[in-house]
Amino acid sequence: MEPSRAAPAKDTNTRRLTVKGVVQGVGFRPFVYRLATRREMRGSVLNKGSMGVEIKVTGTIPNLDAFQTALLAELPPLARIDELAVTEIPTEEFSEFSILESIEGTGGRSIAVIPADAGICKACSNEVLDTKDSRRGSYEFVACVDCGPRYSSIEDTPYDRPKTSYAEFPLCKECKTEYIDPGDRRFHAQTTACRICGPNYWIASDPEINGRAAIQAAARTVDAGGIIVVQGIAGSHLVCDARNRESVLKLRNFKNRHSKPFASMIRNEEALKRILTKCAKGGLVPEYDRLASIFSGTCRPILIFDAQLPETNWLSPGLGSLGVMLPYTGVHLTLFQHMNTDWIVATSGNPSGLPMAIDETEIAEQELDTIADLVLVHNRRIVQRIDDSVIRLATWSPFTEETSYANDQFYAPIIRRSRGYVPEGFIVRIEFPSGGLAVGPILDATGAIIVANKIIPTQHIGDTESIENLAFLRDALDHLLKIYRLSSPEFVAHDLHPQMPSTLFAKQLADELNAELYPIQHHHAHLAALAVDHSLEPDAQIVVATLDGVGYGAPGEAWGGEILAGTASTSRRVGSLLPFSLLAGDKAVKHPTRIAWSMFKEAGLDPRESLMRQLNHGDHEADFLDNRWGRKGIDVKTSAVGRLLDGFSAILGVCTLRSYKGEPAMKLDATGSKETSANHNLALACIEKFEAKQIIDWRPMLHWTLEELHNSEERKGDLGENPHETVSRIAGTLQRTIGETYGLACTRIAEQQGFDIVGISGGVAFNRFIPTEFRRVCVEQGLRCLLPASVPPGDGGVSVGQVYAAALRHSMV
Amino acid sequence: MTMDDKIMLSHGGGGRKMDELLAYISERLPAKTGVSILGVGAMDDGAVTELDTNRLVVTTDAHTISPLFFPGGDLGKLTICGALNDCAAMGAKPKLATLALVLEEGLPVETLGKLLDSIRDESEKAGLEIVAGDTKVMPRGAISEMVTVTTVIGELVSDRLITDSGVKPGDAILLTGEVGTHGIALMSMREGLGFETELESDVTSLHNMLLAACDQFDIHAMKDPTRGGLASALNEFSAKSKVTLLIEEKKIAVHPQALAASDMLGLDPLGVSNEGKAIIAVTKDQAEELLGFLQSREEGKNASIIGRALMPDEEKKILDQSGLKTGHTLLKTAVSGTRIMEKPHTEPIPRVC
Repeated sequence: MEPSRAAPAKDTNTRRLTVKGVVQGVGFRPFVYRLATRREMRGSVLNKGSMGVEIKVTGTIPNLDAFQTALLAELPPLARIDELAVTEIPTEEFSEFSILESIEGTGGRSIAVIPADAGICKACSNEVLDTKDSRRGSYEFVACVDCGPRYSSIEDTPYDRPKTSYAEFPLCKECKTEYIDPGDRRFHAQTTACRICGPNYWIASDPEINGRAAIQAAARTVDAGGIIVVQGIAGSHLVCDARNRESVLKLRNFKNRHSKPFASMIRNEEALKRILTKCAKGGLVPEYDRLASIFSGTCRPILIFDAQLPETNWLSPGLGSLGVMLPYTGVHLTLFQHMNTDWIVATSGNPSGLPMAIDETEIAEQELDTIADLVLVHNRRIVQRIDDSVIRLATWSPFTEETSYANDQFYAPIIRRSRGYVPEGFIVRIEFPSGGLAVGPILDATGAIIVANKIIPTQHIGDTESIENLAFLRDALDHLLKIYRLSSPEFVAHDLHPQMPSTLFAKQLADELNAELYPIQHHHAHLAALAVDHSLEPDAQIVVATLDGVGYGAPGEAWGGEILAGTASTSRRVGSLLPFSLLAGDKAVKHPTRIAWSMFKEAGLDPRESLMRQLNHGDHEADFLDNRWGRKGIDVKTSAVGRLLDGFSAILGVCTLRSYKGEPAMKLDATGSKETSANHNLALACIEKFEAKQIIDWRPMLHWTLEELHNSEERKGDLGENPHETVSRIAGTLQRTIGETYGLACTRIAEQQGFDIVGISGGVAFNRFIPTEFRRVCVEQGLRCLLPASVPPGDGGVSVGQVYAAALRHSMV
Repeated sequence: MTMDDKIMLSHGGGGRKMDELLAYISERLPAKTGVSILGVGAMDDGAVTELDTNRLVVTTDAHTISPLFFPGGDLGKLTICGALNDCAAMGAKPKLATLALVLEEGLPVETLGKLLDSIRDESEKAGLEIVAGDTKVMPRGAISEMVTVTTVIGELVSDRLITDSGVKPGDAILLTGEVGTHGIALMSMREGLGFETELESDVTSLHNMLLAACDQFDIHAMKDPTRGGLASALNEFSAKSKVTLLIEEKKIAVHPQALAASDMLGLDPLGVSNEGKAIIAVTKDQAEELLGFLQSREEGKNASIIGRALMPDEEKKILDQSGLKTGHTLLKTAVSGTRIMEKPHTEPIPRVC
């Protein structure tokens, strides 16, 4: 379609607009076409791959201005403009407005934006639900320019159908007509499909049963209490009826997850509203409308919110919360069409430690078919496996004062940034001429690359202790390097821990790429990630409380309660939690009573009376622990707030055995009463010697806790609270006080150093009490307080910090 | 490898620190060429040398342990079994031994007598003749009670050398019994954990079983996993043989009491010492038959096939995906995927022997 040119008319000008951002594969070119043709303007639009999209448009000056305004104001839902360059060029006359064949731009360092998978839109949902529609009614792969698979199906850029896994499905006559009609919402929708030409579903054990019959059989299985595996757009789910306790317990047994929370999916917004209304009693969650943008936006993450519902209390045992998402693809809608239940468990289809299965072979290899009563698979290849994303609503009320926090001011940090977000990146305020990559931490890892001024993290990988997950990390990084055309990254960033498999992996990668290695300390990476999250200038100085469960600090020191001050490039440790021993290493982490034991000893108290009954081996074990505590230098010492919370969780009897990461601290959080406030005097006692020693002393909190427990025992009933209420009050007060203590310590440091920005990060930032109190204290002191928002504050965001810190250091060399 | 300024206990722990010390020593004391077929540089269990036409294996060992008497054995038994096992793991029949004793001032003679009885009983049982000896006494505090040093000379039973570097792709890896028992029994006793009544050291001599196996099967490599445990021994195999081993965690037997004690101590039984076990690499076709043979013996009744050396194509697939190089041991776990099985960095508690 080469545009024919005619002589230029009078009073017309031509402008060239070069647009970069999320402008490919999101219906941007048809949108431009409609904007231009609406005004009877002529010209062309061209997808130039990594060079962005180039628009040439001829018209009168007012028309050109109006066109430009509308371009920015009326963007399609998935599009985002990061850069717009406008140049007046010699007037050209076009015979029409045309969409030109895509080309791959060359030269320059600019980078294309590859869209993330998007949850099914309203219009497509309506088609799926319309049983009279012969092509799309009850069809599982309905998509348009506004929704559908993207990153999970893209082999390479520019994003066009031949470079996706839909290339294997030539469009039928009707689809083709829609695809080439600029007025249709499937115009150039690269992942469009219909029942006639698109992929389809069948039952793995009986491929004869396919399409609607397969979905019906799967739906019946779920209603009958069975477990099914559903291959989705970017991975697979294990699914059962969430309201059926027996089915959920069977699934728990298989996944060896006896109390770890399960994600679930609710039929539609109406059903979700009903459930939220029930949870809203007691002010636990805001009404649906306040959360609708998270639940039903294009990313469609799992949102974790407070909920006490007896009908499904087996989904998140002991946590008083639920993790829920809405259907995000046609197969979910069609399953719900045929199921009676309005609520299903939808947990990723993998045994722990392995990547999620993405096809029939992997489903069989991981023996998912042995637990499942039925396996539903399809024939659209998944190019990149991407787990569901997770966001945590970590506050009861929105912030009222000025805050840099988005999400309607509700504090809702992202735990796992994956489907719907990846491979969108973060823009930093500095250009790096060369690229680099980071391999992330050991637990809940992501990797990341940096190219020009953009950091792009991979999808959630998991714990990179296993070869399978290392292979997944490698594949995800390779894919990013390929589609972002970063052929020779100059550096590889990794954790400071000398022995992590991912460190070994980084070294070998650096060897292969002839790249430089940058070890980045875990908590510094948290700080740098927060700086990226808030687009700080590279030289901005901040004080950050980096609080989590563990991160290698120095030989024999497990950090996690550190206050760091500096820039995203380098920081100093200016404060820390009073360290305590992890008695017999990893065992202490799994058995938090040992942490409590160590805390008692450190505070000069005898733990036997309080903790003896929690030990499995009685006196022998108690003697062993006492003896062990006395032998200095044998056990690792930790300054981690996550471990301190574990210890208090054991002391309060909330959780004495850990069955999944973070369980004792999460349960302490869940137990804490909302109706508490921080104990200011206690906080002051904890930082009494802070200036002199830069140590936050938790011992006053331990003394206070034991005193409160003792008092309530002595004065049974007098306080008007039952034992559960006592624990709940203590737990709430303690956590708030930890937040206040760190807030006070950070404000003092900021004052000393003359910094005006403070922040909090690390996995503890998901807690409902600590960040909120921390922020309150800092804001009261007139400081700008950064809370995590779009970059995960937990280990999922570490790669972002690693790659940014390394890039800054590398560019200084 | 860099060497620390001072010798630390961890330099004797059988892990990475010990590798550093051994590298330091062998750099200072390079093996002379000529006499040895397999010299000290190979860092195997023993050296192989040739005098006239007989091929001899020479191994030397020092032993110390606290307490001197422990459930399942004593220093005397440990001295002889340790030397015998090292020699047998090279595929050699132990013939002659030398013995040096270093004694601390104040050691009760009765104690010495009991340990000598043990040494006599074990060596007689094995037909091992102690042909030379030496004794030193050190002032009180200069040494802990007693140290023994033995050198054993053995005769190769076949023409082939059995070394740590002999594992071939496709080989099956066998383990002759439960692991971790010696180390955990000792630590449990020292910590007063109360498992000592049920948990005994596995110290025993394996030469009869191992030499018979060498005679009957196409064995490529053998090793007794002492300090550093199974994890270290397997890593020696994979690193020296330049193969990738894939080991299945569920096939590795651990005594239930050892498991309970290691749980309490926060130890990994796979990184804890053994004194009566061996790992064997054998050609795949003979694996089942060798297993049957081992299981028919008292010393090998709990033997199992714990894994295999990957074939090149299989190995390539895994290595390409994960960015690893050859020479690693991988552990397929029940709950957390396939992990790299690392040599323990140091023993988490003061070393056992």
